[in-house]
Amino acid sequence: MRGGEAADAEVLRAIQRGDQEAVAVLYDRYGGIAYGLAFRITNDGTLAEDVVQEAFLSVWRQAARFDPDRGYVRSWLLTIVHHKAVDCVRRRAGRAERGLPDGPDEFIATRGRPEEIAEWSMEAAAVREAVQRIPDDQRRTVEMAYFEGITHVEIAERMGVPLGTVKSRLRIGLEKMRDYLHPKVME
Amino acid sequence: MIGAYALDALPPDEAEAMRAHMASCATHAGAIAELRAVAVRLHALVGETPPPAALRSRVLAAVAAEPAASRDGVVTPMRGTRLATTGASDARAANARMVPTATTSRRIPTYAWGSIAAVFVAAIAGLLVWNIVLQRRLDNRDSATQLAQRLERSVPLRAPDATSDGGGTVVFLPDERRAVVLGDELPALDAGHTYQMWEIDQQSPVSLGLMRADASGRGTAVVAFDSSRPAILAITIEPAGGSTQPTTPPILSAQPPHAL
Repeated sequence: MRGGEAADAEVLRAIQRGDQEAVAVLYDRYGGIAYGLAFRITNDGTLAEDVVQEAFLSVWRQAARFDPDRGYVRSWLLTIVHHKAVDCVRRRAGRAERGLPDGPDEFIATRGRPEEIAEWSMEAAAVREAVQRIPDDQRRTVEMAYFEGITHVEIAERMGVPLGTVKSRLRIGLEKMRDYLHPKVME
Repeated sequence: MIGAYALDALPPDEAEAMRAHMASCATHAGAIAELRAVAVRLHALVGETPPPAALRSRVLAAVAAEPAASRDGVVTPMRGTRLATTGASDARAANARMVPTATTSRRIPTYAWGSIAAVFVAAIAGLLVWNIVLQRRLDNRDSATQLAQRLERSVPLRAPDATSDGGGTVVFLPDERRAVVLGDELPALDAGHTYQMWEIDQQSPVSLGLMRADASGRGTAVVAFDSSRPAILAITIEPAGGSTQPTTPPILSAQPPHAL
């Protein structure tokens, strides 16, 4: 477990003990990342705020069920954020159509100690490399699924390809990323 | 279909069916958990966006208002690997549905702000103290060896003279033969110029790439750097697009620890 993850685990244990202030510590560490992800998916600042609030509330409510020694707190939190943002997008009527991300932005983490920022930056660089290494059609399909909040059926319609093709691209694309990332950041 | 599930791209009914299947199929549950662990890392393509300042108070007020009895106190034995743990949590998170039309109802009612504010005024002092205590506790978790290693590999970016703006830190990672450059308070550049990083030894400088700074003057870059060699990492200001060799003196530089 790396330094940042060990610190996260300690914060999570404090939340499990009922320390509400520990939620503030977790928010200060990841509120910006959570909000950035929620905003990218919802494309709406108000909805993104609601998503972030609901996500941190879920952490508070469900902390006792999470074993920080066997899972990454950050991954758990951001998975919740993604779930809720996708739910939000799908239930929103008349959402604005948006294009895909222009390209990988520089990952600018502004909180934490330099060593933690270094860890995050290394991981972000590895993720960017992994995404760039998979074929374009797989990359576009994976990014559309993750950032647009739409179903694989909608992706197939938009891309004009059979549903089976979309399923294959999503699975194979993630598997290739896994194979690339595993020795680097997913130990 | 497991890829679509891992990316939250299944329709609700298919996602529910997949969850039910995973409960009795360890093979698929494990495969999905692995892909989940990959999918969540895609957030790194977005980066951090500072949320509105009021959101922090909203989150903490919502937590403070949450009755203790409503918290989930059931400790479920975690099974499988670290990756599988993430997947198990996903299933629970997916079950928590959100109704967008309830946006306003999730905000704290106006009449409640008075009492909440009182609670927070009382809590602020404790919060500050607690933060300090927690940070010290977290720091103390590091063994002396780990702490020493961390300090060894972090080096401040220094300006060659006291009049130059900007600073930051370089974290040298000898095992990976990389370095993470964390620029801070970098002066804003016009569109015709860019920051460029260099490895400078006794031979000719080698470009390590360009670095952008955000509006607050912060820039982050991961570069290839073999810190076992006698060289320094330097940053110059170059014409947009970069240069093949430095055309200006370095504004900041850092030496790997062994060279200090």
